[in-house]
Amino acid sequence: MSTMANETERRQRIRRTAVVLGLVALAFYAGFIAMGVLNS
Amino acid sequence: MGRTVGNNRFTKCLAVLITSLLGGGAAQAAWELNMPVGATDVSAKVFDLHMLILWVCVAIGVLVFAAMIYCIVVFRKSKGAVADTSIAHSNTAEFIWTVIPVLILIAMAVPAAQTLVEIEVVRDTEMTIKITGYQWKWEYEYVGEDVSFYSSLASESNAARQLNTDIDPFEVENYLLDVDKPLVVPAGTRIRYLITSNDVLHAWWMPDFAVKKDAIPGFINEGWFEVNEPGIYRGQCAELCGKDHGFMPVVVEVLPKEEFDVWLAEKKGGVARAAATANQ
Amino acid sequence: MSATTTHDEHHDDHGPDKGIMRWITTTNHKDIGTLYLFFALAMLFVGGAMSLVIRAELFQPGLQFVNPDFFNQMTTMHALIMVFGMIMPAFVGFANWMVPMMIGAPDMALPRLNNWSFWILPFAGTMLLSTLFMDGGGPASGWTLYPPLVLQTGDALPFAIFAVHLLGVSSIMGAINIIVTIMNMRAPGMTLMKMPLFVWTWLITAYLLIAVMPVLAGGVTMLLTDAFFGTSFFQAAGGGDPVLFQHIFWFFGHPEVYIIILPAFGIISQIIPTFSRKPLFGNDSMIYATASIAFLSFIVWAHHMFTVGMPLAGQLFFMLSTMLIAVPTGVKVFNWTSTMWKGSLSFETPMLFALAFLFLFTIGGFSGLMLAIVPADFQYHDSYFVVAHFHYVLVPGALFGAIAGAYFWMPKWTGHMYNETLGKVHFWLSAIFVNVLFFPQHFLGLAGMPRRIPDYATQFADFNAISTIGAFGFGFTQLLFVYIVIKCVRGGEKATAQVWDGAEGLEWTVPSPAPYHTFEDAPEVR
Repeated sequence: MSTMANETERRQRIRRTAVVLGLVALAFYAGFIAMGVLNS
Repeated sequence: MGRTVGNNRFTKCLAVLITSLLGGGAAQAAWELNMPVGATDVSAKVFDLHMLILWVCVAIGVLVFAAMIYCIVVFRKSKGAVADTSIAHSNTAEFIWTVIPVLILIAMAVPAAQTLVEIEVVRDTEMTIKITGYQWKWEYEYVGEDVSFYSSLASESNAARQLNTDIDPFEVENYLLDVDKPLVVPAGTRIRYLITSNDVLHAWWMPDFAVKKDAIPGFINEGWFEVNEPGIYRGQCAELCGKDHGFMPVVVEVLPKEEFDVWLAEKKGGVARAAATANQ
Repeated sequence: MSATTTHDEHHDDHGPDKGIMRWITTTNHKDIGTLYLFFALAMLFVGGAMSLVIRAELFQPGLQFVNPDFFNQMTTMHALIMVFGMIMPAFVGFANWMVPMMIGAPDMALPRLNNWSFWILPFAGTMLLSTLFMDGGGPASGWTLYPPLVLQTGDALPFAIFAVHLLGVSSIMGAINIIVTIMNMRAPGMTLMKMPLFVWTWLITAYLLIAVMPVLAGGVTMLLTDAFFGTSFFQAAGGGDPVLFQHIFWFFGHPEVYIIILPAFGIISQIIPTFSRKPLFGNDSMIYATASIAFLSFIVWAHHMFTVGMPLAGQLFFMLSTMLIAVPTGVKVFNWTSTMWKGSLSFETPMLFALAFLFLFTIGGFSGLMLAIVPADFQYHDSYFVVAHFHYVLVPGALFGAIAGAYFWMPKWTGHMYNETLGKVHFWLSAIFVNVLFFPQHFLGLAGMPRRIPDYATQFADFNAISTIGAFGFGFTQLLFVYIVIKCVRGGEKATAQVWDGAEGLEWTVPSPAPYHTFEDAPEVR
């Protein structure tokens, strides 16, 4: 039983980490373009 | 004919390679192995710095490679070596090989920083030249003298560098390193240069002066050099600038001060006389 | 891959689909790893062919084969293909195959994302290559894509930029997958500090990828808007700054070189202990050194730009930070050497490539240190000395690391031993030719030959001729590698589970070839 719960929890954690990392990547992308905009 | 030239060159290659590996020095004229000492005090200092780092690297390399080779030769399974698996880590060793490199690096950084400061501080200059990069030529302007001209690849080189030409580059004097009108400057004079570009990035590289500076459109970089010995010095554009990047050499003719003054006066005096002078 | 495609609906949980659909729809980390590795191998020859065009033209002074514009397209595409199409996919392939097996996970955490990350690649690669046939030719501004020159590219510019975007997306997705897998899928008892070095180096590499690939994407997006939407980020005429692009590019570009080399460090750190029959010396300090290198890689980017006219303080800072990288890199080399100390060394092909890596990467490290010294860099910058330097760290460094890893794990992948004699021949030919190819380029650079030129003054002729001979020797030697791989896939001496008598780690506890599904029940790690 508990392994099933662990499995669901692990899946959620995996999804959450992946989304956060994706957002970090997007932030770097947008951030550097924003820096370019402010610079010019 | 080109074939035989090639073959002779190849035999020469091997011969010189062997002699240079064995004897060193003698072959250096034909086989440039090292950075030029150059013609300015700065370039000599850069050369010394280069040799210093090189020898430090060689010394470290000899020690490290000796240790590796020792391991490879001595600790062979085929010779019955048994692994001593108790050796897994040593904080002392890690400490030593962290600290010693740091000390060596500091020792290298000090002279490097000193030379850098000397290169970067532009002061007491006696004349100013403005260099502008174009696709694919240089423009030189003597600031305040109302003299300026373009400097492009010499026509002999230009003919020989075409695809499918019959001209042997070895027959062309100073192939790709010759221009129609070189930059002319006086010897023993501290010259300030301003550099910019009219289109894309270029870089003005004169190995003998240890000068390499990017020409950037919309921005002006500056620097200086002072050449001790009169002579003709050759370099090239160093920043990829399009299809003819390899064909916009930098040539500087350094004249004794008096001769330079005459040259400049003639240059100012009129187009006809200037053209005659520039072609020498 | 069999030639016939069957439409068999039968689905077996313990075996792959048949035919081509297996490879297109696969979510299996081993299949995807294989796809990555074969893609990388194919690109090695595409990029290699381009380098042979370059070296053929440079064999003698004068222009013999190609015009200067096509030459520039070749230098540009050679670099883009080798970096984004060959070496990065190769290491992602290793990560796909080995990371789950090394940490005792059944698969990657996000298998469908994994399929996507791979299948973007062939399309992006094809688009990039197709630019060569467009009006105005492919990008010819060097892989650094510096404006304003890159804005002179013909029709190819938006396609090249889109290809770079796709390649970046692929890498980022792969990196996310690797991080998520390592953080969430480790077998019980596999603590972070117990992870093999290869897993560690990839974890750090993946973080670097997520931080810097978007920066490159941002930079090329700004190029795109400059070219087509009237902005002037990098155009001086509109108030922009061409040097800004260089800062952005190298903020990506320097971590990128560690993205390329760190997985190779990881592979070498697996191989040297195996064939020394001794645990890796200073395992923890190796991890810390890798992390330090990754951190420092973010604060050294401007050492690629010492000639743009930076303020003195900036030059001093980037010189010192760059020199600092020599310290953790030195720690790694010393630890590898100490691993061999009092070991019991044998010299199978993976070990030979690892040793060549150790020697030749160190040479590349020395020239890197020399390049950090700003006054001397004014002479080295954009000369063949730089070309020699980065090829020493990329070819006998990263590429030899990948080849060593391929020999090391091929028995585990295929279940067969490769032909050791042929492997040794491959090694010796590669090791000799790579030096014939790149060592003379040091001399050319010092003597004053700029990089990226299709033709040169006659005093550079001799070393260029030698270098070209080395290039062709090295290139054709790699065909032997393809033969060895195919031979090994098809058959050969049966490999045991452990394969190498000194091998340790979870991947060596499963049979060879590794079954389609491994560690469905997590192993216990003590």
